Amino acid sequence: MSAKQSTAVAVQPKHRQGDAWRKIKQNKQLYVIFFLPFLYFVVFRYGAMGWLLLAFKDYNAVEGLFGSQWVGFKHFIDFFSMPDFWRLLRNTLLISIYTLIFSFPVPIVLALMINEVENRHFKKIVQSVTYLPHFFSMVIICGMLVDFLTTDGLINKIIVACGGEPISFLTDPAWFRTIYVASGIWQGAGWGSIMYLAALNGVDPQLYESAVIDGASKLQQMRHISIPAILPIISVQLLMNIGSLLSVGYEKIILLYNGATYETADVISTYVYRRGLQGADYGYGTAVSMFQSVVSLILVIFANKIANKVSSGEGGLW
Amino acid sequence: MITKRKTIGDVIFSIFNYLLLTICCLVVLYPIYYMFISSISDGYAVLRGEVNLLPVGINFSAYKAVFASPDIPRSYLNTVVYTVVGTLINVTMTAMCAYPLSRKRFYGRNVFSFMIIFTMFFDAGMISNFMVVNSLHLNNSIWAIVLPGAINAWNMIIMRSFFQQIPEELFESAHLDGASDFTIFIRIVLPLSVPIIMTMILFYAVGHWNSWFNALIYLDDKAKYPVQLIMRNIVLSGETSALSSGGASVAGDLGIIATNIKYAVVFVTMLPILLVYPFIQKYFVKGILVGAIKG
Amino acid sequence: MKKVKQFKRVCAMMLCAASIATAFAGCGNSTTTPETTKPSGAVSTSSGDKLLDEELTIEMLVQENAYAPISQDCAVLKAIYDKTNVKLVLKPVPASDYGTKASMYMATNNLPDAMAVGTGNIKDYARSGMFLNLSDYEEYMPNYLAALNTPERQMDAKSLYLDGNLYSFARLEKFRIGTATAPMIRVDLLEEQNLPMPKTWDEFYDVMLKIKEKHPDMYAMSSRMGTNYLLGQLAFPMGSGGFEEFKTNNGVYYEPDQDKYLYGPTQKDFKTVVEFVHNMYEDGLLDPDYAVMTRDICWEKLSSGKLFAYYDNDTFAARTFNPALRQIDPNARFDIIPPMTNPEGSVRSLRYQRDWLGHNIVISSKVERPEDVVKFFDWMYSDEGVMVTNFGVEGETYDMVNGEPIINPELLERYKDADDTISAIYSEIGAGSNNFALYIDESWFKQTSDPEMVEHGALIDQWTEEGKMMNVRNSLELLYTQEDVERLKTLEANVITLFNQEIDKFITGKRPMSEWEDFAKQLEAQGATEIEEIYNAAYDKMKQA
Repeated sequence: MSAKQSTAVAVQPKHRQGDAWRKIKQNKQLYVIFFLPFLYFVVFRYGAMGWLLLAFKDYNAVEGLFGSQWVGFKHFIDFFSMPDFWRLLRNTLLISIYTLIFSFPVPIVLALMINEVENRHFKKIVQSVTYLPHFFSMVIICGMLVDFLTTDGLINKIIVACGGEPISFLTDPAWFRTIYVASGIWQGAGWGSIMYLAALNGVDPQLYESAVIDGASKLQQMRHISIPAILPIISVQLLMNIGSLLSVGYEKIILLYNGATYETADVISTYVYRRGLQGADYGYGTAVSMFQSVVSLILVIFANKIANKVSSGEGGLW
Repeated sequence: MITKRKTIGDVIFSIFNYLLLTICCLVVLYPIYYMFISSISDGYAVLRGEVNLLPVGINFSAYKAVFASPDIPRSYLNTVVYTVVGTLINVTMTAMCAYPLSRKRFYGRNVFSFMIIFTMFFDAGMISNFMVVNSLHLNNSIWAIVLPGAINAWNMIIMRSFFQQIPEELFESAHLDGASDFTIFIRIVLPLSVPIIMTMILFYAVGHWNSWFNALIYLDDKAKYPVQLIMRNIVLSGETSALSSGGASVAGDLGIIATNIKYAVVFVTMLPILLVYPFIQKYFVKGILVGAIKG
Repeated sequence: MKKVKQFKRVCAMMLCAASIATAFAGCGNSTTTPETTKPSGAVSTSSGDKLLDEELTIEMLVQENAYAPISQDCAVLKAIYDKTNVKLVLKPVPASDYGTKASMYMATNNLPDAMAVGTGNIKDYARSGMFLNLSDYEEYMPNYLAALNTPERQMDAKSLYLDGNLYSFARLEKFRIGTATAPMIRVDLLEEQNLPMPKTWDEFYDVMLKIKEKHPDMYAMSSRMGTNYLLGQLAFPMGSGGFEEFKTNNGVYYEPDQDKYLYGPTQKDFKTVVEFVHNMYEDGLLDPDYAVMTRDICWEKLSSGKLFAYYDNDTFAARTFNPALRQIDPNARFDIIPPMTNPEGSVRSLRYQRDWLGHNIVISSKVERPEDVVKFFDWMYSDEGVMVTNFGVEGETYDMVNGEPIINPELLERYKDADDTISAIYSEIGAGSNNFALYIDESWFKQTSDPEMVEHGALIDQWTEEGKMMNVRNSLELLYTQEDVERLKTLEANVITLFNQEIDKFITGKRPMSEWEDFAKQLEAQGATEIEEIYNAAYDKMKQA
C-alpha cells in the first residue's frame, strides 16, 4: 500500500494546457471505454434534467413541461415561508448529523473487528448474520420496532426485570433520534461493512506477519496497517454522506413518529408529505428537492476542497 | 513460519472481540428468528402474541398459501431475469466508467467526475425519468428495468477508489511491454479487482432483487411484475388503501392477510438473494492484490 | 497467474447466466403483446341483441388486492362480452401502490381508456381536460343518472360534480350489510359481574371502571391508527365531531344540527371528549401506547384479552377477535353496544359512508368511441349489468331462489374452507367490489358471513331508521375553487401540525385541561376558522347546484 500512486507522474510527461487534444489522442482507448458510460449519463441523467424547470412552473399534465405556466419563485417562497421552517431544518440536520457521527463509524469498526477474527467459520457466520437486516423492508422493520418498544414490549420487559421503570420510548421526543439512529445502525452496519471488508482483503498478509515479529499488538496493527488501507474508501464515503445531510427520507419517520414526538421527529420531507405531496403538486415537490440539491452540492464542493487539500489531491471525489 | 507469541493484551483483545461480535449476532438474529417462528406458527397464536421464543402449533400452511398463489412463481422468475441481466449491465458499465476516471492521464477526468457526481444530487424526479424512458420506447420491457439505473454513481466512485489503489508499477511495466489500455483493463485491472467486482455484483444484485419502483411505473403487464411488487401488496395489505376516500378503505378492511402469511412471504422472497453472499465470500481472499504483483 | 484463471471462470459463469436471461427476456416480450393490442378499427360482428353493434375493446386500470387476485379469464368478463360486445381488458395494479401508478399515468398524460381514481385525482386533473366530460354524454347514461338521483343520494351525488360537470362513474351501493364504527365490549366480562349493557356514555365509563377493578391487568381501549382516529370515533357521538374516517385528518365534520361544516376540536363538546380520554388515561383504562399502536399490535391485544373494549368497525369482532378469543376462553366475545346517550342528552352516531364515492372510474378524453364507452359503463348500473358484475352467470355461478341470487352450491363448496370465502369466490368469477363492479350488491355476504355480523348489520340499519345513526358525509373536495385548494393546503398543514403535537399532552396530563380554551383559540388563529369558511362556501355552492 505504500507504493500507491507515488510514481504516477512518471508515466505521463508534463504537458501544457494547450495540447489537450494530443493527450486525448494518446489515450484514445480510455475514451472508447468511457464512451458508453458517458452516453448513459447524457441520455438517462442529463436527458431528464430539463424537468428541473418544474420548480418554477405550475405543472399541467396536458400542456406538458413547456406549456405549463411560469410562476417564478412561488414554490420556493411557499416552502421557505412555512411555519416551523427552522425547526424542520434543525431536526433534519440533527438527524443527519447524529447519523453521521454514530452510524457512519460502526460499519468501519465492525469490519475491523471481523478482520481480526482468526476462526474462519466464525468469521463467515458473523458476516452472513450481520448483513441480514438489510433485506427487510422498512414497513416490517418499523412494525417490529414499535412492537419491541411499547410500554409492555420486549425492551421494557427487560428494563422492568432489571428493576427499572418502563420508558415510553415512542411518545417521548427525547428518545426519537436515538431510536432512529440505533435502528439504522442495526439495519445497516453489517451491509455497510462489506465494502470495507473488500478493501481489507487488499492488504498483504506479510505486513501483519512482520508487524507481529516486530512485536506490534493487535491494536497497533489495526492502527498502522488496517485503517490506512481503508482510508481512501472512508474518505470518499464521508464526502458523499456530507452531501446527503439534508435528504432525510420520510418513509421511516412517518412509520415511527406521532404528534407527541413532532418536536424532534418532524423533518422537511415529512412536513412536505403531510402537506399532500402525493397530490399533483409536482412543481412544489421539485422546488423542495432542488433546494436540498443545491445545499448538498455546496456542502460537497466545500468538503471536497478540504479533502483534496488534506490529502494533496488524492482523497477527493474529483 | 512465524512463532505465535500472543501477548496478554492480544488475548484480551481477542476475547473481547469474539464476545462483542457474538452479542452483535444475537441482537441481529432475534428479530429475524421471531419473524421466522411466527411464519410457521398457528395464525391465531401469533395474533394473540403467544409466539416469543418457540413456535406455537407448528404448521407450514402460511408457506403453502404463498406458493398456492399463481403470481409468486412467475414473478420470481421475472425477478431472477431482471437481477441477472441488470447486474451484468451494471457491473460492466460501472467498471467501464470507473477505470478511465481512475487514470490520471485521462484528460478531463475531474470534469467528468464532477458531471457524474452532479447527477447524484440533482434528480429531476419521477415524471422526468418516465418521460425519458417513454421517449426511448422502453416502456413495458425489461430494458425499462435494467437501463435507467445502469450506473450507480456512488458505486462507481467506490470502484474508482479501488482502481486507484492498484500500484502504478503494474501499469508502467505493462505500458513498457506495449500493452494497450484495453489489454491493461481486461488482463490486469479486472483480475486484480475480483473482491470489488464481487462486492459490486452483490450490491447491484441485491438492489435489483429488492427493487419494485421502476417495475411499478414502467411495466403494464402483470405477467412481467417482479416478486417484490407482489410481496409489497401482501405485506401492506390492510394498511390504508390507495384510493383515499373513506368508503374504499372500509372495503379494504374486509380482506385480511394474517401476520404469519406476511412473514412467510418475507422469507420466501428473501431467501434466494441471501444465498448470493456466501458464494461471493469465497472470493474475498486476503492479499489478492499483493499476491498478484509478486506472482 | 492463478487469480486470472479464477476471474475467467467468474466471467464465463456470468456470460452463461446472461445468455439464459436474455432468452427469457425475449420470450417475455413476444408472448404478452397480442393480448393487449388495441383493435382500433374494430371489426363489427353482427349481434342484434348486444348492447353495442360493433365490438369494442376497453383497457382499464384496476386496483388489485392481495387477498383477491384479479384474472382476465373469469366468468364475468365472458358474460360481459356476450351481453355487450365489449372486451374489457383489465390491467391490475397492486393496491399497495395503485396511487403512485395512477398518478404516473395522469402526470404524464398517458391514460389508459379507463381507470379507477380517487376524488383528489379528479380535483387535480379534470380541469386539464384529460378526462372525458360525462355531462356531454348524458343521453347515453340513463341508468347511472337514475341511480345518482335517488332521494337518499341526492346530496352526495352533487359532490361528484366539478364546476358543474360530471367526470366519473362512482362506485355505488345497491345492497350492503350495514357496518359502522361502533362501541364494542367484552360481554362475558359484563356478565361476570352482572353489569348491564351501558345506555349512556357515563354508564359506559362506569362499567369500564368496574371491569378494570376486577381485571387490573387489562386495559379498556386503544387505537389502531393513533390519537386522532380514537378521538374521531368518540367525538361525533359525544356531541361534536371531526376525524371520523380514515384520511380526514383536518378535523372538519358535517354538523347536522346546524346544517354546517365545523372544525371539531374548537367546538364546546370536543373538550368533553378530550376529558373523557384523559380520564381514561388517568384511571388506567386507556392503553398507554394508544398513540403509537400499529394495527397488528392492536389486534393482538384485542384477540388475546389484553383489551376489553373498542370503538371501531363492528365486523372485526365476528371476523377476527371472537374466533381468536374462543380458543382461549369459550365464553369470551365482543358484542355491540347500542348507540348511547351523550352528556348533552342526545343519541347520535355515525355509520360508514354510503357508496364508495371516493372510488371513481374516469375515461380518457382520447378514446375513439366515447359514446359507446359511456354506454358500456352505464350498462353496469342497469339491472342486467348489476346481476352480471355482482353475481356472474345464472346457472353457472348463481341460482335464483325466492327471487334472491344464491351462490352456486358447487362454487360455494369449493371455497367453503378458504380463509375468506367470499373474497375467494369473487376472485374466481371476477365479480363484486374487489374487481370492477360499479353498482355493488353484496347480498352474497348474507350467505357467507358469520351470522353475528348479519345480525349487527340489521341492527345498524334499524338504528339508522330510528335516527340514531347517520352516514358520514362525502368530502366536498370537488367544490373548492383553485384558490381554495391552494389556501387549504397551507392552512390544513398548519392546523394539523399544531393539533397533533399538542393533543397528546392534554390526554396524558402534561398540559392541564384548563388551558384547553386557549389552545382552541390558537387553533382558530392558525386557520381553523378560515378552513370552516372555505368548507361552508363550498357547501352552499353544492346546496344551490
